[in-house]
Amino acid sequence: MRVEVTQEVVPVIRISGEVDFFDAPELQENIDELISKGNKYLLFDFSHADYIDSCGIEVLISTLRKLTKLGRLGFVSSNNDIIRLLELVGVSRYSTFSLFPSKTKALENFERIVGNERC
Amino acid sequence: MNAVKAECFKKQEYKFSASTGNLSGARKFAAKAAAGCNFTDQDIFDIKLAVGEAVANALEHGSPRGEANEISVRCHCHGDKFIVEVKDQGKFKKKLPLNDAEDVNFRGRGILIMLALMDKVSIDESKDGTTVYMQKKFRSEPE
Repeated sequence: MRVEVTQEVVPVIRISGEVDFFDAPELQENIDELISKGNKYLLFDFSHADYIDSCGIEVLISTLRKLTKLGRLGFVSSNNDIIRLLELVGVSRYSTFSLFPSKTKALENFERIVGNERC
Repeated sequence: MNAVKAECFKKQEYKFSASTGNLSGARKFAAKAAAGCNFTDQDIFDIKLAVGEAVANALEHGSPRGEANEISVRCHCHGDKFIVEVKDQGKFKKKLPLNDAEDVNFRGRGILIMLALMDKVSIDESKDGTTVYMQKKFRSEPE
């Protein structure tokens, strides 16, 4: 797994490779640091990831719980196996979770949310 | 309907020390064995994930002496089934079945994933360790 965090309209956590029992703690540390800085909107870019297990899923669920109802977690992936898994374990049922087919679509969505807050 | 034909092979085994660094290799071993049986890409992902969950559980709970312990993954075909056994040297912590995705922690969620993706999952505890048995049937595909 490789994690890169960049700041766009919201923090983007770009994950490459596989997220599993071995790698999940490092991902959790990155996310916790972003949340501790007051970020309530986060975008996980899984476009270049091809595997996630229950430990990676736990990072997503833990993040959704920490963000609370005021926040939003965007998730970019077009990998049907990963999308099927998110549905299976119930991540997709969280009202604060949004799945996007591309990073561009996700950032457009977050720009609208952040823009509305500023109005 | 065209049945997917299994190319049966002798039992293949991958043994490794209980190090988290070996988790990816164990998954790849199972995925390669499944790919050799003409499973679909979706089924191969399911087998890879289910084996990954079983091995992660073996690393976390089934290896009291850490890297001094050994884990084995064995795969073979039997009739219309692909069978995987993941054996460790410890005690299993969760009891089957689990059926509430909302309330389980990540390891319980791992077992839930195994149950959902494989056709049969059973766990055998003995004096010298725990073995997780998983089966997946070869599916018929529409023409």
